[in-house]
Amino acid sequence: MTNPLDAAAISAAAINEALLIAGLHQHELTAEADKLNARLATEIAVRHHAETALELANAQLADQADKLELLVVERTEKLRETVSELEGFSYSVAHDLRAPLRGMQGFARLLQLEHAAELGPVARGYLERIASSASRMDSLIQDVLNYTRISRADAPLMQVNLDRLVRDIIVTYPGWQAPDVAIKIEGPLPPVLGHEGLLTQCVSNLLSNAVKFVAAGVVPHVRIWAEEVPASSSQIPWPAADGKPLANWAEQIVVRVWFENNGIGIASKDRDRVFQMFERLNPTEQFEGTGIGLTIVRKAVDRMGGRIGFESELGQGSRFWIELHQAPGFPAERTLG
Amino acid sequence: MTAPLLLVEDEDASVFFFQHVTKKLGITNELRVVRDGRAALDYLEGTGPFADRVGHPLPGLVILDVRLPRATGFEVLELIRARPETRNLIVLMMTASGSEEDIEKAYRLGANAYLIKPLGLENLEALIRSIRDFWLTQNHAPSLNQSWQPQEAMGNPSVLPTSA
Repeated sequence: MTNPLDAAAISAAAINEALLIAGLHQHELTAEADKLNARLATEIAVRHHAETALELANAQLADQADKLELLVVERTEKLRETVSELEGFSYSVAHDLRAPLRGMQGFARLLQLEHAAELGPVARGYLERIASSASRMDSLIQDVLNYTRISRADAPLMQVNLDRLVRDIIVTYPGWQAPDVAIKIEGPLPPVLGHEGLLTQCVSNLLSNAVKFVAAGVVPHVRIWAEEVPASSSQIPWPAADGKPLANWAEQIVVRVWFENNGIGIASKDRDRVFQMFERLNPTEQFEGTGIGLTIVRKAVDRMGGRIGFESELGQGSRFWIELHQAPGFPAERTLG
Repeated sequence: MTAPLLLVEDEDASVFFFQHVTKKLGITNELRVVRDGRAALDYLEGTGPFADRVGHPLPGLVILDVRLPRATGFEVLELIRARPETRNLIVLMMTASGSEEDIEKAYRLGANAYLIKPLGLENLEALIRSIRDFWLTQNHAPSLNQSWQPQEAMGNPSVLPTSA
């Protein structure tokens, strides 16, 4: 039989050992916990550091973005100023260029008128060429002036009575009346969203071309009509009046105005050239002109948010069309089909 | 009208043609020419080299270009309309620019007419002939209110038919 004291001693020793072991474990665990805590603290510190750095970076980015926006605004304003200065500059340069032409033409003419007897026919012929060169140069400059005027002028768009505009234009040209020219309007043409001045320029130039470019001896025939077409017929996003594409452009209806003539037509190889500034497909002896008519029309149509195109065969006449926005509120509700 | 004409024009060739054509068309009014805006202002105010009003009489009609050195045609026009002595002067703008803004501004500042310099000597002749027939012959000019000026000849032909 074990001595109860011994048993107690053994138990105590066992308990002590257990306690010791537990103490050691606890020490280990505490050490572990401390280690983990330390690691956690480090991670938190690192993360905090990273967050602070991120905040700083974001703040800097926002600051940069603000500065850039300001820069863009400044540069746009500067560009606008420069463009308008350039336009003003080209405007006054064009004027300055015309002055010496008056001199050239005037003095050549004075010689022809007041000293004809002293000059032989050859000399008079040379003077004639000087005078006509001056005239031609003046036409070119005036056309450029016209073109820059179209580019720079403010062109607020509003409802235009196209029918009346076209008829008024035709009446102002004495050379365009029957029987010299046969212009037929299949009207009434619908009102459009546009600018009176620009539209007047477009229609005048298109009709002027139609009347001019006919074969010798042929009476010019022009047929004008309008139709409503869906904007999507072109597959190209249709710009709104301010030049930006509309969200629902494909559902828009636009007015297409046709100008059909019985002129000399345009060969397909020349299709791209007709709208270029001062490009002329025919020699001066056949048809006078500076080659800026269609350039101006296209620019003007552009400014009204429209499009221009044509169908033509050499020798078969041409059908030019311009597309313009419908006048707002007319008609009230329309759907396709 | 017998008073002199004042041409305000800086281009040599234009001055020459104007003088040549006015002589050819038998315009007897003396033609005075100044070459820039400042000189025009001096002439009309009677200052500087033009202080002597007897030697440099006020014109009865001013032909005024817009684009001038030293002071613009519009500045000259403003001065003309601002001074009592020159307020009623007949002022014809004659310039190369046909811009709508310029035309609007000219009339707003009180120009009597706006003419565009033509290309072509014959066109210039036609224009000056019109000026001669309308402004110098048919039109009745305002008096210039200067005591030394001789009485205007009363021989202006009346164009309006008297009512029957």
